[in-house]
Amino acid sequence: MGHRRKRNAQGAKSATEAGGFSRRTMVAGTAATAVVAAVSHLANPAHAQAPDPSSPQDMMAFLLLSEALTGVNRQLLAPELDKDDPGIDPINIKNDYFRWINAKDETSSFAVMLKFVKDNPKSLPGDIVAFVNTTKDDNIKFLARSIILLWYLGSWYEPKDLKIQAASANPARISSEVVSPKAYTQGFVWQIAGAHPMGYSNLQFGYWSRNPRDPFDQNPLLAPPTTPNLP
Amino acid sequence: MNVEEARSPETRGPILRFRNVGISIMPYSPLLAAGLATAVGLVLSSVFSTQAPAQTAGSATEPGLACNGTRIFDPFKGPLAGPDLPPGLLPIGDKDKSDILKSGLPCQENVRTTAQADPTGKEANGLANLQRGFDFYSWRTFIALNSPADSTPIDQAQPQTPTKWEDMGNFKQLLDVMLPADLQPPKWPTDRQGMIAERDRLAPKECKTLREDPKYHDRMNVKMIEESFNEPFKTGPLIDQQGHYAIFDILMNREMFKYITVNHLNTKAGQAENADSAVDFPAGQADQPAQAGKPAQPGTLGAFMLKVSWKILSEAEKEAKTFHMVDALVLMPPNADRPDAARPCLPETLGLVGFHAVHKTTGRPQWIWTTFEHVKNVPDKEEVAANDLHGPYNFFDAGCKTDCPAVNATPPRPWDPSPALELRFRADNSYKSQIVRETPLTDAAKHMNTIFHSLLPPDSVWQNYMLISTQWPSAFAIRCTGLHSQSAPDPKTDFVKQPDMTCSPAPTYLANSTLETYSQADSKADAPDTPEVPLATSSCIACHSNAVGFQRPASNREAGRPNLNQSDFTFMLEKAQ
Repeated sequence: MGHRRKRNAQGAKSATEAGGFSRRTMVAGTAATAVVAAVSHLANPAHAQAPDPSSPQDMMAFLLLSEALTGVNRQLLAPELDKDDPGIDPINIKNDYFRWINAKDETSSFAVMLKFVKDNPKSLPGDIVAFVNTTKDDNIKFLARSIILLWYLGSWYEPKDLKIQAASANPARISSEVVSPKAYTQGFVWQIAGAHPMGYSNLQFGYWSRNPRDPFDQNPLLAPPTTPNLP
Repeated sequence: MNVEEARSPETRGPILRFRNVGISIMPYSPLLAAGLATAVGLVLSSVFSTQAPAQTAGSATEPGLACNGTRIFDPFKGPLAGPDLPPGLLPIGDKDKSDILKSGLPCQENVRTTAQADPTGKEANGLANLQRGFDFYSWRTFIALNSPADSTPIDQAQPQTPTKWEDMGNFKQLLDVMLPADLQPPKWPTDRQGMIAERDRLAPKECKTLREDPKYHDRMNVKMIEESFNEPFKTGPLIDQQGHYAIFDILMNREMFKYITVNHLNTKAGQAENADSAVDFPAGQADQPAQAGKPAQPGTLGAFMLKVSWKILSEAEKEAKTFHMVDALVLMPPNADRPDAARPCLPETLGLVGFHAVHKTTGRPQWIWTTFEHVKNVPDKEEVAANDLHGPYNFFDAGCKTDCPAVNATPPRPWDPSPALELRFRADNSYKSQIVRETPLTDAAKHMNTIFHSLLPPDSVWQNYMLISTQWPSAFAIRCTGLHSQSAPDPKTDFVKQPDMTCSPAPTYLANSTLETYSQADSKADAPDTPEVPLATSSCIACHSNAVGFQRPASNREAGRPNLNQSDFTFMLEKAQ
């Protein structure tokens, strides 16, 4: 299993408070936050210009979009945003995904979705989802579906293939492409299933001897450790 | 058995630990949690000026290598990432220089996501700041372990000066611990005469004749087995430019030795007796001040292991004095086809080419993985591509233009050393490895090397060694051990159903060109941007998380303690006989 992490973000709030998140993270004293700081600039009018993975504003817009589409908090999508652990993400899969989508999108739909987020920095995740669902542009709808699959599976499904499949009375199996060796281990499906991709596991040796845990189990796997002495 | 059996309702078996020295693992330290980083940083901002290094032994009553429990940040100015050193950084002031070189072996890492000791000593993000802290820790560790065994300063060391880690009082070779069943169990006396007697007891009988010569009697013995010449995953030997095998050796400190022997993990039978117990080596910890009625505790070193690689030196190389050298008696490995055949014992001068230092601490129970190399081992692939070569190299022929061995290819078989050839790979020296470093050093690592080289005399042999990097578990505290928080981010399901053994190592991959030669990241022509294949590419923590002993797969754990692996990130226990 890949890079699975539990982000213990005490008091984490929803995407509606992106600005607040930004301030808290900045207070935490990190420089990760070139990305986070970008949130405060999202209110600036933006055109649907080509997405730029090196732009903090575009990256934050991508995370907010991904959070809305996947239902997974952005701190899990981008561990560097964790206020307890800011700036730390040696894997940084978000960058790979951003670049991949940007390169694969032939329609400027990606830019349009990012622009919506940047133009509406106070939007709820539901607002972003509503934008996707109500648009008449199928390119946007099916790119959104590809993005969801990318986060969960680490694989890329071409939006046009998804569109054909959705319209088919007898949907055929469509092909996909594993984005990278890193993405192969990072799909959220593995963490949610308590499993790991074939050929790679960072589960504890002998994990197979224990019963799998209920994914909705709210009880801790282990009791919290006691606080050690601090100097 | 002087072991405390700690049980809890969640515990399916005991966790082995020492009753007397209290070195069972502490709960994860939240010191490094970034939310606390600033406040903690203020508390810990003792750099060098106010506190002399407090050298404390592995424990207050135990012999062994001392460690410094004082928390120290690097005093260097400016960010180290980027192509250029910050202006004004060098030279390092005399006081800082002296304090660093004399600071001793850290009991524990001291890192944070924000600036180091100097407010300008700050990198672009938390990850880079932490990496800088770990690299500083690694260089301090390297300096301390390679300082002269007689405690003279490292700036007075000569190439052949025995080091701290080579001293029989500080580290013991793995094969002197995992003994055959027909030998008495290993001992590690505290007195020098006792240690010499133990060394002599375990000296190979094949070396007896040589050892009767006073010239050879006190030499280090290197007993080769397959792991002494074959790279991890049995991917083949590494052959130097003189056609000789590179030689590997593994060592442990007293804390590891004591844990292994007290718990009878040095034999298969002993491991079987403890099959339901979790292996949990002691962890190093910095000084703990008095708090809440508890007295202050001196720092402890915890478990420490080394893996080193050697090159057999030619006469010219000995004369050049660019390697740290040790005179050794090398016992060749058993002949696979004729296991009863005599094993040659060879007097050789070995040059240090690779150095792994691995340290378990309370803050990093997945251990901290430091690796150094000789600067002339190999070029990196970017240097090769740019024809920016500065040979001769130990494992790369810069002058080879035609019919060169394939780069980073395993040698042709057979791989086993032939007694008749001693430690030459082929009689005609027809094969030499052609190795390049797949992942170049980062600018920050290069700059850290430049800084530490500037602290050493220009003619010091240690100028010829460089830090490759330090790998450390980045998702620490409770975040990767399966603990669920009610206030966790959405979705409220527990994403981590099983503990993550690796806790997201940073950097994700790390290889030493001499010790993980054939499992470096492999750039594929058809996927140049995605070269690293998990578990086929070297990651210290990810690989060692699969280490097991001869134990049953039960994973017992104690409430509040991390659920670690059966043999706690070391393959050493597999060598029990």
